[in-house]
Amino acid sequence: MADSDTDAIRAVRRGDTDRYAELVDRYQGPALRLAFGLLGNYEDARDVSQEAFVSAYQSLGRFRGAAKFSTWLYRIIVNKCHDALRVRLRQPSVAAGVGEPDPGTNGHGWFVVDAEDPAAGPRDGLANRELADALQQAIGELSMNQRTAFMLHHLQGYALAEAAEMMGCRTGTVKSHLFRAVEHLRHRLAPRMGTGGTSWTS
Amino acid sequence: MDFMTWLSRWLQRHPLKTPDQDRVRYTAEVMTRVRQVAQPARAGMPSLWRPQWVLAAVAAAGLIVVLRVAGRPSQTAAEPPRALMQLAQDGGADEDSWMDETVQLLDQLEAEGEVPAENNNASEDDWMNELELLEESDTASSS
Repeated sequence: MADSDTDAIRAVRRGDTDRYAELVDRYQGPALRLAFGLLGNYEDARDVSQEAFVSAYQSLGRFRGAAKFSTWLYRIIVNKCHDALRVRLRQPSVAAGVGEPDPGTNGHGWFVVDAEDPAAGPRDGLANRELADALQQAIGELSMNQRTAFMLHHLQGYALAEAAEMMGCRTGTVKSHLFRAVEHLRHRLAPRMGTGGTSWTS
Repeated sequence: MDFMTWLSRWLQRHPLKTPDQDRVRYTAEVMTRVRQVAQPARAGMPSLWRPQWVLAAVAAAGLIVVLRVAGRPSQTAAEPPRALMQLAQDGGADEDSWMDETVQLLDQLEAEGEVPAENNNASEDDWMNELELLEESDTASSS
């Protein structure tokens, strides 16, 4: 854990609540991006990530420092995002009103990547947008755990061990989720390959 | 090029979207919520000395005394001196073990003082297991 994190946490524990703002300021970017990647809705992501900061503050007395504060915070966010997604799945009426995907997310709720490529020509640009759409749809079809593992490891760049810690499971379990996620994406994207420079040979 | 290599390269060129945000406003909103729930003095307070654990410890110690008194064999009119002697001896001999039991109970209560955290972990584990099962059923149903 960064020394500055440790200092801030100690100060907050001593009663200097204002020092918590340092942690909020430091980690709000990745926290919001993680929640947005999982929820696909900015307002929901903002609310969930802010709730996570409050929950982390309330539990700060139990934080032993064995893990990094950021990892601890991100795990809370992952849990809260899973809760929100479960509510969406179980209450379609809620999903239709509050928490629906942002415009431009193509209705799947997890439009996570930037399809624009300045270096691409018009033909490749169109192919990229179509591919981003297909990828988006395929990611939306993954289970929550598969999507979370894919998001953390492949899109946010966390190591497997970090992703496992955030998801509260073993590294092997994350690998299993990733394997199934990639297999699903390979299966879904295969028909679209071979156009606009977007191809691979399996 | 295999699929994963291709996908990794593609995702490097098309990174995760980052929503625009007002950092100052975000921090201010969080801190408003934090201050609403703030109990700074308790945030760093050792769990053993929180009032509810002290009260629980006192109640448990009282319960032990009651149970030990109630659990002693009742005296008979035929042998009151022997019973009294035994009671006195038990009391003296058991004092250390009684204290040990009390300390153990306090340790146990202290451990149970971590219940909220442990429960959170346990519920999270249960929850993850439930998600695993849900995912397996999803996979089974989709295959």
